[in-house]
Amino acid sequence: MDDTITKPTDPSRTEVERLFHQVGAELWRAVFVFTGGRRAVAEDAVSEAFTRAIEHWGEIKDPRAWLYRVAFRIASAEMKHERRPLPTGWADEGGAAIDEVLPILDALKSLPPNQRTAIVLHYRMDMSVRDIAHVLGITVATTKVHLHRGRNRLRQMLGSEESPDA
Amino acid sequence: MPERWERDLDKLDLLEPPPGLPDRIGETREHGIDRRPMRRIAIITTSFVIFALAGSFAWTALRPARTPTTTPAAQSQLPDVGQITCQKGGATTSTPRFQVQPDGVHFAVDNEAGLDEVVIVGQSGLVGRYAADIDLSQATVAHYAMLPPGDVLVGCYPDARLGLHDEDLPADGMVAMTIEDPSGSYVSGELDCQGTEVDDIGSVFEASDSSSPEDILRSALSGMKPSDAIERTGYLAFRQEPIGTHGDARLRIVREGRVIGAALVTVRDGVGSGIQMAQVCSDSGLTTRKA
Repeated sequence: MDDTITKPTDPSRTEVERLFHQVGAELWRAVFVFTGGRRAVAEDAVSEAFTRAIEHWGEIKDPRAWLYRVAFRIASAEMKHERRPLPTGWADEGGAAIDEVLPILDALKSLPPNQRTAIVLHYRMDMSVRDIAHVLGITVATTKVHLHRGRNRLRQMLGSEESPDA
Repeated sequence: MPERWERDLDKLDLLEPPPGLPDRIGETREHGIDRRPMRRIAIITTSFVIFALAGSFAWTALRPARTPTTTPAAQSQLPDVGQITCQKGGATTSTPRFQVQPDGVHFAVDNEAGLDEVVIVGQSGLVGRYAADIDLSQATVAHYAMLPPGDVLVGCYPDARLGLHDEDLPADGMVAMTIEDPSGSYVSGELDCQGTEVDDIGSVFEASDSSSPEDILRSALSGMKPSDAIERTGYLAFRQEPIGTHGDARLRIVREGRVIGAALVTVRDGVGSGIQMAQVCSDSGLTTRKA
């Protein structure tokens, strides 16, 4: 138990807490979608990633990219060990506004994990294809394929409703 | 004007993270320690089972009745663990060529430089570049059941390098290694879709009384021909492992010698069974029955 961390009040923690206010919520949402609604896994992965950021703060050059990569790696490892099936619904996941979000969550859940994550990171988090490839541990080319297929699937399920001049 | 799905994506902002999440930063290590004994037990148990299976299959593989693709002498000359040494100048290896074991690919790391992570990248046609890593704070040996045989690049890095891009990694000194599979233990799930598209099939998960992963896959798909063969993929130990009532199986669909589909099938007794994910060649005519 000697290596237990007890909230040090050093500058790195202050910086990481500031970073959490900037990207913590969006990172949690991305991991939540990636894990198919596993709330506990998403929470563990995000909090653990920020904790590791405190430990390595002085060495980290791009904190946002680092946090995404580490959080997704932790979530992937957790899911590999998990024996439970995918949650069958989202009703008790993600807070009170779930009804309004259900259509997009259901549509995303029907996509393979990397595909739905690429969509969310690119179109919701404004992450570049190159950065997404790094987060997911895949190539840029594969990421583009995931985005292409994911877009098509979402159009099929939700409709495009493009404007005439779009 | 954004499309509807793009507007719906914006609604993800309505999802609220758990209110206690900020308070857990810095405390997770303590929480993690509480969980580690159980995880260690699970890992040790799993490792023991895998070791026992590996031993069993290794015994089978070494019997003279087998028909190896290379000579027994050539097999015995190859080590069955990839040795990686992490030095300050980069990764080195004493086993540039080594062979798989019946349960997959094994690595052992001599962490001379006290680094944090080993990164392994290789080629896997189905999903593009395969990437894996060994967290050296947790272990200096690793086993990969899904890493195909072939050429890989291996590098050693401090943890902070995780934030950088893949393209930057080779500059730190990666070493090339070749993973041989002389006994043909690995069966690939890569699709033969030259000249045609690959379609992703999402999860099809529902209550089912089906007993075997093969039956579950066949019942979940339409467009299957009677002559289509369903085969397990991956390494020998896992292809022969009984799934029973709780487990996962990776399968491929072969039509006239061509791999036209691949799927991960999950069996969960009392909960339901189905396809977690699948890919098919678009000219195969395969689709889900629910589609």
